[in-house]
Amino acid sequence: MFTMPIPLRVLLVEDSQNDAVLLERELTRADYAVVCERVETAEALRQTLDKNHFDIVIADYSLPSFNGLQALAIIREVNADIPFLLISGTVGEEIAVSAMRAGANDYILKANLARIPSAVARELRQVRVRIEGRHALEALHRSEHRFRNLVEQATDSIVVHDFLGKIVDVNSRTCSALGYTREELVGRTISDIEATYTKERLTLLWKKIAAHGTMIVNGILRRKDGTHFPVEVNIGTFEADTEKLLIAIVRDVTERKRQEEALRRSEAQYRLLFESNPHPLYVYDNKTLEFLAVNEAAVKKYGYSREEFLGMNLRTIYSADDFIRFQKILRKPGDSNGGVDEQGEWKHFRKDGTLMSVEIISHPIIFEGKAAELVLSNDITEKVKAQEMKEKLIRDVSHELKTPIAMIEMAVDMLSRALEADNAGAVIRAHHIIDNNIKRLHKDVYTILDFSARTQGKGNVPQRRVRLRDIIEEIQNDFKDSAAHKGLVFTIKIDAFSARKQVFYNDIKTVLYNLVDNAVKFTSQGCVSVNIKKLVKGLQIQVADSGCGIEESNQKKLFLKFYKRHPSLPGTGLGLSIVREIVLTYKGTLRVDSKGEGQGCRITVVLPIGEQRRSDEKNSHRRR
Amino acid sequence: MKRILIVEDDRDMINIYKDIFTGTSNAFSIDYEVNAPAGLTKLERNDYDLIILDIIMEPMTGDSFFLYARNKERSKNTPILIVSVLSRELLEALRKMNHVRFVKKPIKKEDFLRSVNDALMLNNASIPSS
Repeated sequence: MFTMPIPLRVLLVEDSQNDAVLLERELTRADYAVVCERVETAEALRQTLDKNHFDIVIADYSLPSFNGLQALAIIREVNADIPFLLISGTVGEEIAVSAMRAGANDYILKANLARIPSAVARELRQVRVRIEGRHALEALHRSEHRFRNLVEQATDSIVVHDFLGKIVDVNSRTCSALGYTREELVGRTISDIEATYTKERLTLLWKKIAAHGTMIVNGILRRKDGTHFPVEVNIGTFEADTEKLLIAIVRDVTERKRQEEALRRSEAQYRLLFESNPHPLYVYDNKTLEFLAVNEAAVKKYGYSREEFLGMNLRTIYSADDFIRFQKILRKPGDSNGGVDEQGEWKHFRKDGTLMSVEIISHPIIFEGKAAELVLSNDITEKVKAQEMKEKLIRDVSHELKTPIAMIEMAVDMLSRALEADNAGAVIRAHHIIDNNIKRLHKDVYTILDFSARTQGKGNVPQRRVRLRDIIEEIQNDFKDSAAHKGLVFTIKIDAFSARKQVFYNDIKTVLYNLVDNAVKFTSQGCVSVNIKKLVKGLQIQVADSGCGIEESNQKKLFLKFYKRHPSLPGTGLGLSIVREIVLTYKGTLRVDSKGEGQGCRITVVLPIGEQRRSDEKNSHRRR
Repeated sequence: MKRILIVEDDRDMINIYKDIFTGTSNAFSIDYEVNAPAGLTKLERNDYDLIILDIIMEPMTGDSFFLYARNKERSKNTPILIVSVLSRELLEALRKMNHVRFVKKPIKKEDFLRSVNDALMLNNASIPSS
């Protein structure tokens, strides 16, 4: 088998050329590629050592100018590791021993040169081991140094302690964090620095760690000055020499706790804003359209419980047509256009199947890590209804105004014919019609303006005060004719005290006029009677008729704006709602009694008007 | 001589009708009724060639009167001339029914009399000549 020769640089301290050749031959035979340099003097030895590196030094003991032991001394000055073999022809045991003591690695007789290769091989091996060992040691030192630095400069406090809590070592971070010096800390126990320390708890904890390994626990540390701070501690065990110790890596979590608390607070605030918002709010997953959160207002408005909501998707609440429209405007996932989206008006289903009009404002958010939308759903059903009411009012009012205008036009036509025919009777009749209908126009326009002013809170213009008796006289005149024409018995009763009472003209006239007007309108035979009397709680106005009455289901609607039993009935539908507005201003009460259709009707208004109080109330109301 | 029933709750309007029909007493015999229920009673007792009807009335409205009238044997085919300020769209349903004409207030004497005559013709085809 062919083996690669091992390069070997040999420094030979030898005066005999023959011996040198012999030696070289032995080594070459042992498969060394020998590069040999031979020196004979101490001077040459020194120079050669400076210049070159050698794997091994082989020195003859007896030399002409110096000896092998002196050569050894020179070599060891320079290089402690290089193997040194001493060879000799005849050397005694003492020299061999002293050579070995001086640091020679082996001693070989010239008669036994065949031993040289094995000695060289052994020495080279040993020197390798020695060097490797030294490198390992150096590395160990370096790593220890590094480790120490690491520990020292760690931003975490590191505390080494035993199983009784006695502190064995700390890093400088521990000292700065706690306000102690290292010397003060080493030798103290954990109970001195852990505010929540109890012997039982920590002994148990340490036992667990010894059995199961590293654990992370929370604690509170006490500084030297007595202040505290929260920490998270990573505790493990390690073997030091023969002893098992605990190493605690302690992290100050004051800032983290503060941030967590701030986050919790802001989340709580957000939740509160979400939950207590008077508008229905919900959050849905942009991909699956499933509800992720709903607030209390949404639960109330839609009629679904929270649990039901969270098991549904948007499809459930949208009407079919609107859902198709909705899908078209749905924000695509990844659409970075993250603005508030006013989506306008939609029809949403409640749980009970009824539809409501809602105005949707949508805003993209990240909710529980999902792309979601926060939606404000504002119920505008009432607004839409009010708009419809307004349109109806305009329709009704224009009809109501058209009638007297048409009457006047026809009367003018009649008048011109009467004048042409010189018919005095017809002139008088036409004049009468014109007069009546101008009054009617006045009344209607006043009602509309009064209603508009009162519903907009502008009704509290200064009013003149009159005796109630004066208003009663006016009412008597206003309805005398129309009641008589229908053959109705129209009576007004009032007690003497109330008749003298000072009241606000506009308010009381409007209440009485509308109540009586309504009663006369809906009574075709029998009577309409007004009864006014003083009660302990105030002034009671009662208007009763024997007219068509009103069924119970409609009694509540009677005072609603624009309510009319039938669209073909005359009037603006405003009169009784104005009465209601006025009664509310006075904090009074209003009651309808009717046994049903055709059974007549009685409306009772009680206004808590005291001697002085009402005017105060009115004044304070007016100032608002 | 044509018999006409006018149901109108406004006294002023009745005066206008009276003025319009002045001098037509040879052609028309007119009953005035200010109260729709009383008008229905009249329909039960008499045969009329034409009913002139107001819509906005109380307590019974003209459209209710219309339906009652159409359900009475004597008046089920009687031509009805509706005189109202109400817009046409609201009266569309009534107009589609048989023997109904509609005139919008205000009315002028000549135009109105023409409408009355037109309305009177409505029933000629269906009433057996007597």
